[in-house]
Amino acid sequence: MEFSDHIKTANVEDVVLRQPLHPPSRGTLCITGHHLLFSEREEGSSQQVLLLLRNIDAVEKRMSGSSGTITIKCKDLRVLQLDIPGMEQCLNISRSIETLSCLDNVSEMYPFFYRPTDLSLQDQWGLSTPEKHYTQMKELHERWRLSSVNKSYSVCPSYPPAVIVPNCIDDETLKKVAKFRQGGRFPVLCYYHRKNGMVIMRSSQPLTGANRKRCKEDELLLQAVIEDSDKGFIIDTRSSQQVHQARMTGGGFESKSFYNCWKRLHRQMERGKALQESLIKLVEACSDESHSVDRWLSKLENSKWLSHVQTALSTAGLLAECVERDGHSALVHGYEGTDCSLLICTLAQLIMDPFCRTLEGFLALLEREWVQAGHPFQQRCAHSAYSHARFQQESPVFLLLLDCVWQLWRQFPLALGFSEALLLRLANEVYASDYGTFLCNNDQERCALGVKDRTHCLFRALLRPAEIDYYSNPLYEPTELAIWPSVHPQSLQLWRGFFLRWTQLAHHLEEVQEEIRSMVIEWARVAQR
Amino acid sequence: MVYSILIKEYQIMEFAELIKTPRVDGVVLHRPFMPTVEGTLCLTGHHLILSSRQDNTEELWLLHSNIDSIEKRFVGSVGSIIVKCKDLRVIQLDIPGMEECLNIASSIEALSTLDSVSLMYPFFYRPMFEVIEDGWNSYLPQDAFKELESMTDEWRLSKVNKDFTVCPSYPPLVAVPINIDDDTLKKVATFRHGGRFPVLSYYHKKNGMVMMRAGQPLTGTNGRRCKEDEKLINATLRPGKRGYIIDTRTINVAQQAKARGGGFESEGNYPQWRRIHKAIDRYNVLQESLIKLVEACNDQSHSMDRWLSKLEASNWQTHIKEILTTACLAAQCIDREGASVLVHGTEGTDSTLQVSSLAQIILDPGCRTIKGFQGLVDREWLQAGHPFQQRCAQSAYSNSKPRQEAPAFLLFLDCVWQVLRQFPCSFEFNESFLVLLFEHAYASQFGTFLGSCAADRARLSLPEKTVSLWSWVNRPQELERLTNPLYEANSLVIWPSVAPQSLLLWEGLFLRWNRSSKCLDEAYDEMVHIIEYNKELQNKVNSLRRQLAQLETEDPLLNTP
Repeated sequence: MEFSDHIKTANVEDVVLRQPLHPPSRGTLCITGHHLLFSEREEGSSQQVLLLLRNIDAVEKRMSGSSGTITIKCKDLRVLQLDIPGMEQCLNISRSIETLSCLDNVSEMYPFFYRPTDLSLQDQWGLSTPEKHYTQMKELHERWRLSSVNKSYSVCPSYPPAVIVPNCIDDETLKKVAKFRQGGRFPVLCYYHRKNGMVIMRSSQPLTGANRKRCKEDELLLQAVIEDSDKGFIIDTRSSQQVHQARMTGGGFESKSFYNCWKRLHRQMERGKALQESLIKLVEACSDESHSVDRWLSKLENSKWLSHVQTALSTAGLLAECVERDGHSALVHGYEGTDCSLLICTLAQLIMDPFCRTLEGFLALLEREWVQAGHPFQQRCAHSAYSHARFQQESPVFLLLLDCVWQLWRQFPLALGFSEALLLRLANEVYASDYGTFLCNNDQERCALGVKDRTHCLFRALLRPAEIDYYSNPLYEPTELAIWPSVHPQSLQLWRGFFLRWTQLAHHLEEVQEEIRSMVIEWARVAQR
Repeated sequence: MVYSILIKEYQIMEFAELIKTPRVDGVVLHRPFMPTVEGTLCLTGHHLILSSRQDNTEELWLLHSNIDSIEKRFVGSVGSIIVKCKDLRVIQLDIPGMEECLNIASSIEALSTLDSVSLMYPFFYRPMFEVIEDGWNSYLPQDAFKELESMTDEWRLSKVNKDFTVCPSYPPLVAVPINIDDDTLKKVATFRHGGRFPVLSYYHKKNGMVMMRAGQPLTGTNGRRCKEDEKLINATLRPGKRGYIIDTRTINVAQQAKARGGGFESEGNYPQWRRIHKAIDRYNVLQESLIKLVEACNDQSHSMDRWLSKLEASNWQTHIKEILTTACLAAQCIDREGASVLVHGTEGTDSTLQVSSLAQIILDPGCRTIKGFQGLVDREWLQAGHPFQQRCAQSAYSNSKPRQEAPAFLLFLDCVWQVLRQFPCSFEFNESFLVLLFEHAYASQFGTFLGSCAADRARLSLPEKTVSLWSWVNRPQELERLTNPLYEANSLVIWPSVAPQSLLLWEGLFLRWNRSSKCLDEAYDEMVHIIEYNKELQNKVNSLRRQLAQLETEDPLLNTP
């Protein structure tokens, strides 16, 4: 199927574009296979708007007389309006946008066509690999090994080919454990705490089922994690009621009698549909124009978004407390181990590990804990808050992570090496991107489509010198200490920079940050002379 | 030096009688986000002092007038006094000995609620700094008028109120239209609530439009009219132009006011004026809103829903929005419609001043400087007769039934903070200045916020007997602390967003004692450092450029290619 089959009208003259923070402008509209391009045709101006069609969440059309208006609601929460002369042209355009914005075939997506001049496909894709990561972590080598049991993705389809496991557990054992865990996600190491040698492991739920099935190899593996120490913590991201119900559908939890050195802690975290609905309600509240404070605060409360932020941060805090303060290792899982587990493991690492708080360290963390660890980006980010389509697997877990990181950044303005601009950029890229980083659902799919050979890597691009300046925090001062966020409701705020970014208000604050950033960059230049 | 003051205080019988136990050892002090301190507690006429026996450890110096309420608790023979301050801080003192504890508690209760103004601390306080410029003379009406005279000759300074008989709550000098004589003013004063005849509050240089403020007209149920009043306000209109009257009450409230002798300007008698009614709450409603808000902020529960519900139920943000919206409306009439405006509510001493002062923040870049803002507070709140003594007698923790208390001034400061947050580069001062004004309005060593009007201040001889807050603030070391490092003078009108989504809780004030500000303070210092370093570098670059230019002219060889 060619893109051109979907484009009946490629060019329209005399279109009026209305977008937030700009006066309306008149110009030419073009539709290409992946983009919507608007070029202003007014004297003395050459403004262009280039929008990835993938960024479009919903299209609404309204006809009046011989012209029509298309309202475009983007996944980055921007709302644009196009006044198009000619009914037929308007219908053609809107149909093209509707079709092209939700193409299913990954290999037809823009990252496979994006060829910037300053990047080469021969460049390394990604910041690191599990192998490199293991080689660098010398302190791990005594007790932990790199297993290639999953090199053909047959043991666990959503894991990378290499994972870190206890030394004394061989690949045969791992295969048996994988059968006992949902989706084959057997417990693997995700973080080693240098200060006390404790670790964070993550997995999916054990498949005990209604008959309380057990798996000796699974118990052995977990015992090997804590070795001689007296106990470890299992943080289950479901309530104890939920885990009992999960047994009816073949899932379950680690029972006290078989895992007597492990203490289970339950923290119920919402996922999937509940989270998606929360986002929709929040965005709806943010665009409410009723001017009633009560109504706004009710809607904000009703959306529950801030409660989700609070739960995520406090669960991550609990995990970090187990490791850093109590000096115990921990295992994290919920159901599949691809959403909430990743969320809190990532946040706990930011809380504890100073390296994860650098710009490069943060991107490497995201690569390790989200891209390689198999968060199903393609399913979760197919649609955002405006879509009319029926939701299937969509859920803003990654956006929730970015919001939580923003809360950390706000409470510890000096401790993080990156800026709010990076979080905003990531929030855009995860839904629609020129780069291949967030394509597909796991490493296996990425390999099958040749993503690493045929697209460019976002994380590498963000670390180019010109971009580093923009995404660094000018106030950054590294601290070795853990940063413990306050999770009091009074301490958490709506991430206005993201949710209200297309209003005038956020605009002023951005200007200030820009000002400070340019000062810091200016010095660097002066210092070099 | 300090002790000599204490001794002087102690000699005053009123205080001595109230202090049964002036000193207790082994008292433990608990404060939010600070280590506990053990030491000796001393009570003086105006202060509660805790000094630890180690040198150089922190001490607590708390003005009794800052104490809003206390609670006592006993566990065995140790009593605890929980002191809740007007600046919203809560501290706890563990006092060994039941009797000592009870004595201390009753002394604090008595000393924190002294009624006599002349016994207040400002009358005993002697500055330990050099007064460079006496703040009592910094913002005199005659000086402000000189500036006005340079722009227009349509106004004059009237002395009709020089002995405070025409309007007890006005200053001796007020600006009125040039062709309105003092006799007319006297007649108008009898027609306006509290004698508050319309006076000039702001002159918009850009288009010559003005904002006036007044008390409500006393039309009563019979629809009384006053030709002089009509003449006065019509005198401010340009030929063929209409003006706007912004009534801070709803039409219903204004109608009801007629039954009590008040009222509003009817269309029939004021055909050149368009009346707009807004709904700004006052008194109890505001005080209760503050109490609820502070209660919500101190809530220890971890439920997000509960916090947001309580925040909503307090209605505080709604008040902020109403005030800001009305101020924007007044500013819009003046700047965009090119019309003059008269603002009033009932007395014209609360919501009226909120609106007139905020409109000036929006319209006049001068009010956004440190001195300009002091001038605005002095002119539109102190001289304009906002009854600080009544409104700020109690704050959010008070157990007594509120009478005249209302956080009208705090709401104004909160609104300024909202605008400051939305325009972070347009104000010469920072958040600390607003917090400082809040603190001093409720409890202070300075005389600035004592009394309720100019007449009170004259009667109490405040300028002679007390120090002005401005004398202290306007010294280089204080100014430095209060200056916004991001300030870039902006000569434009700034229109704040009043959408509910744009309004935030003023964390720096309401959550100040509920969170550790260490990280935020560090970030602020770092930003200041960056900006200063940047200035330094710029100066260096400039001087190098100058040197280079000089060398080029001196050395002709450099000029030949």
